[in-house]
Amino acid sequence: MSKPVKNIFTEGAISPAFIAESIAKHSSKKDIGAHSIFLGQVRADIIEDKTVSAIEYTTYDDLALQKMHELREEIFAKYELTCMHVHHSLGEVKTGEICLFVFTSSKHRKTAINACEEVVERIKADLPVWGKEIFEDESHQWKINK
Amino acid sequence: MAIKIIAFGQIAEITGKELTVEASDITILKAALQVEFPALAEKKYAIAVNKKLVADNVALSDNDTVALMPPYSGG
Repeated sequence: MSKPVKNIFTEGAISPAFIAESIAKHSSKKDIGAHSIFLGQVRADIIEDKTVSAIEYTTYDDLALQKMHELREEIFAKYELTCMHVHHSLGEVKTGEICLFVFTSSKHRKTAINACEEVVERIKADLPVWGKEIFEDESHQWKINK
Repeated sequence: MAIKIIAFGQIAEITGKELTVEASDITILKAALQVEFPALAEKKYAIAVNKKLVADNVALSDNDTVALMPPYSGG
């Protein structure tokens, strides 16, 4: 039976309290020996004397969620993970706030760390999500992933 | 054939988020868009037809939805 497509998108920033709660929920899973967590934070880049104050994210959600579903299946086939959670912001996220939360858990650290890194790289490369960098004077430019 | 187009990111700033174009395949569709929006000529974008990425020219049918997607910048 195929698994349902999960939603990964959250409106606005991902709160530290949500992340803490998410970690706490795993204490009942006694076969886990390692968690790896990646948190993406909106950076106040300065471009030609203008400072970024927020990033506004949009997506093609039907395609993004399908791609994320395929990525999830691939990662579970490649790594021996106990579980994996992904949350990505949509809409406006201010500088200093969290916009991406990737959380992988496994028996051993290397599996969790490698899976987490691959998921983050693949999210940036393969998901149809766009970041618009908004400056303090309300002008904007489109983010480019490096 | 009337093809529904949805655009994202900086492409949507040029074309608007939704529009309809008459076209029978992707090559014709891209040419028609470029006539209407000359600024598209210098922009890079990927295309999805009915939520599937397409790299080559494909034929289009009535009621297909074509997505115009500039380079991704999530995360």
